[in-house]
Amino acid sequence: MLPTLTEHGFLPVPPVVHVVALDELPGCFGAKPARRELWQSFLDFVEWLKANTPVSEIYLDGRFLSAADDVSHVEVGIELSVDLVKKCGLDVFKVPALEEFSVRVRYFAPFRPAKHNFHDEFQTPDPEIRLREAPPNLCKGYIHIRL
Amino acid sequence: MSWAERTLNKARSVHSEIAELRTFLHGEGRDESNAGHLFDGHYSALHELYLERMPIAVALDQSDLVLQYHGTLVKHGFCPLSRMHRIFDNLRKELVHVTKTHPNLSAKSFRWKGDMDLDVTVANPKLMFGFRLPRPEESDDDARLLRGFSDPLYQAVKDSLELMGVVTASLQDERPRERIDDFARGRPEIDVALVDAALHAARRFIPLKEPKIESVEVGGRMVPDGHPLEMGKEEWSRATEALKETRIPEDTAEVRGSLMAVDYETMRFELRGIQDWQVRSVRCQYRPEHEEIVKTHGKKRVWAKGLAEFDRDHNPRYLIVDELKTLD
Repeated sequence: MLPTLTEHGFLPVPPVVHVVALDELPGCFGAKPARRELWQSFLDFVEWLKANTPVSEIYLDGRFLSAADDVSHVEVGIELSVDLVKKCGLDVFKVPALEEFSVRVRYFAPFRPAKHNFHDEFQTPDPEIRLREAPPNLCKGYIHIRL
Repeated sequence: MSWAERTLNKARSVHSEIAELRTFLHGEGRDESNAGHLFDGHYSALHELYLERMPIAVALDQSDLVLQYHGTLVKHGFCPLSRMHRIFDNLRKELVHVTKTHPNLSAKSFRWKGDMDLDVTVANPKLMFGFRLPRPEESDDDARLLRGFSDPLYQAVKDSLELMGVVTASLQDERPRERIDDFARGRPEIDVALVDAALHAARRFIPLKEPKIESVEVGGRMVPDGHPLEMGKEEWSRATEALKETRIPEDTAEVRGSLMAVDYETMRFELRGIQDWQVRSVRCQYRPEHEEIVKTHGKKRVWAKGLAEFDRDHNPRYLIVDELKTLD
């Protein structure tokens, strides 16, 4: 199970990356109808991924994982690999995920830039007025899911 | 590290990942022009960081007071000019009004000067507004540099903004007056009139009558505590109740002045251009039987008598009106 959110409304660190199974997650991110709808759309996207691609792991991030009220989509990161691209090509990812599943997909190369990579980005909170008194180097956790 | 720097670093990460993805595709012999869809999420993230998050980051870094309105109107990202003007004008009026009520500015020896006004740090159509104290050291104006932080006018603006932060935070409490009284203890400049004006202003910040706006979030360096301050109906009711708890003074005073700045809901007005006393204005609380005069004598001269709170120089600052007569 995921730990409860911190006083600032984020997944705690350490660990920066919370490795969890998909079936452990339902209900972790709010009971409001809009959040439940987003979660269901995300599950639909996962089903689509499983059915159409050999993607076996994804990262989950964004305001959906926080206590923020104004959440419009779920942030998903997918690391491509040479094998994956050989197996399914690139056209399969042309699905308009944001429009159809309310999921914003970020595709990443197999290797991380040494400095300023998506791990740095995902652990940095977005500026919000409610965070005005947060420590200047506040970090947050994000999720890794094996499908 | 500032919020703007952190947000820029997030954007740098997105740019780095875009470059890495591009290199990967080239290495795999893939035509990037056929893989534009792989970059859509990155560009969307950059759009959000630069256009939506960066203004908030700048506001957090630069503002002493930030107000972010929430509601369906804000989600569009556009706002009718008239609404924008009305909300901003209300904020400006209330902030200036509180400052003008400060004893340093109420005394006849000082006048409100435009160059001691608050600086606007943010005002955007997503209804986020930021204000900060003018920084004397940043001015090219030698006169302002000389006045500096100890100048009574500067101090009035600073005290007023700080009080606004405390009053706003107090509205999260069941009994706002307790926190306000704690803050005012040992600070003679935070008197009954200034607290009343600040409570009134905080109440007016809450957009209960604005369609499609539900609440306002208040932040900035002047707001104490680390908890988010979301102000809606509940806080509005607390401000209304707290206004009713203004201490009833024991002494009486008679004041002649021009009837200005009326608020019919909270039954307050200001007498300005005061005769017979060494103050510029007196904040007044009236009763329903005075309403006809209040409604028909705006900007006209009136005489008021009632229980009054006095400043250290024995001038009335706050008057609970018992009798009200017209002079013009």
